[in-house]
Amino acid sequence: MNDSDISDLARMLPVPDARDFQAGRQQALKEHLMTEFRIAEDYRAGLSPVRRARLRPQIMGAAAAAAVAVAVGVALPASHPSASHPARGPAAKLAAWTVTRQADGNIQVTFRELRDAAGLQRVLRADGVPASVTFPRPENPACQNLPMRHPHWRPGLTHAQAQRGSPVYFGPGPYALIIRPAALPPGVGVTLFYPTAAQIRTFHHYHQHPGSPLSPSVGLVKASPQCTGS
Amino acid sequence: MNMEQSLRARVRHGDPDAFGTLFDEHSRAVCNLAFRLTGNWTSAEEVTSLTFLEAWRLRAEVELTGESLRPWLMGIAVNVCRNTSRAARRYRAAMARLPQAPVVPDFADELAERIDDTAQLAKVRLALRELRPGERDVVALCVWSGLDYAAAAQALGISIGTVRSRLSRARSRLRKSIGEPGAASEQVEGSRENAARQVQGRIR
Repeated sequence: MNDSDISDLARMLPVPDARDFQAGRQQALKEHLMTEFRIAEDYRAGLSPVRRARLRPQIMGAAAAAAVAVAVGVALPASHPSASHPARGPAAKLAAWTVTRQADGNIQVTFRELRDAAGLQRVLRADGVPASVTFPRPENPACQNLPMRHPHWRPGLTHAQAQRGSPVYFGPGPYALIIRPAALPPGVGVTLFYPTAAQIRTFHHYHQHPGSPLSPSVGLVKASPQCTGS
Repeated sequence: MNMEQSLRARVRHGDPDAFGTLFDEHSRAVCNLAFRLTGNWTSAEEVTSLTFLEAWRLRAEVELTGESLRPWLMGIAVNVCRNTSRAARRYRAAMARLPQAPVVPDFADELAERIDDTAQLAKVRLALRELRPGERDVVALCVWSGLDYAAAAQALGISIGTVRSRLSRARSRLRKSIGEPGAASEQVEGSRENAARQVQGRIR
């Protein structure tokens, strides 16, 4: 090996010493990847969205269910978990989704399963958000979609920058959705549904991973009694 | 079957835990390589995620026998750096789910150090513009990431001779642009120490 080329180049192109990730960051990036691999596997398995949503509780073991139940209890004390499971053993404590009102007035929905759409719709409406929630089924045909700015992610852009100004956006975790009631114009509501293949190809909604059992699409709609209840 | 062979088999088979092991072992090196090429740590973390998503997609190309998979990952990383927007488009949904980096208070010393690093990398990136993309790739792998010629050749899918000639061309091109007359013996003392440290640093 000719080290004189290497050492000359190292001298002409001096770079800083290798740096470490911030505390906890490497683990966060790893967990993101592991989730993406699992989504890719689910997607490849080719199950229908409804079937996948039904299978999900069986795929998650009792241990995982217990862990999630503890995490919900500790991390989100002032939240509304979905109450679709009556209290029956460890799996019964697993909420399909959790709604939390944040200090800044924003509402965070965290999904673990696309289940109990009616319950989520009720909670959101009670929180003052005109909402239509139909997952794991397609959108309510009575809803009239409104255009929305799509958060085009590009390198170097932080998540916050990509989503700035949007009344709804995904994040900060893989399966969290933020609704900003203050940014919703009057007469505008939120729709949460499972997209059809044609809708996935359009950019009128925000899609997480299309076809994933944990990824609803979210869009803006004209508020109406038939669609959002008011 | 040794550990590395069994890991290769599991990676090829698409075992997520095997990718977890790869991430534990190599993500820091991948991120530092990307940091040197992009000059921005946030972008480098994004490149790191894209590199492992690409690795997952390309896992069938992993051969069952061989040494560390680091050269393979580094090869993917330089390709992602070369065309980040294409990789970002492919994984748009996944990247939208990337957890945001936590905002942590910077200590004054650390902040100053980071500003120095960024300024230094800005200069290096300016110099890199003198090089062709293929030359830049071998510099990143051989000079900054400590891959030997054979590993770099394997990572980039080129011959060892091509790695050698690209490095040699990169050196002449940079010398010409800096206006250096040539031989290593003309280095000033400080620079030589720096070079020695760089070479030392890449031996792992």
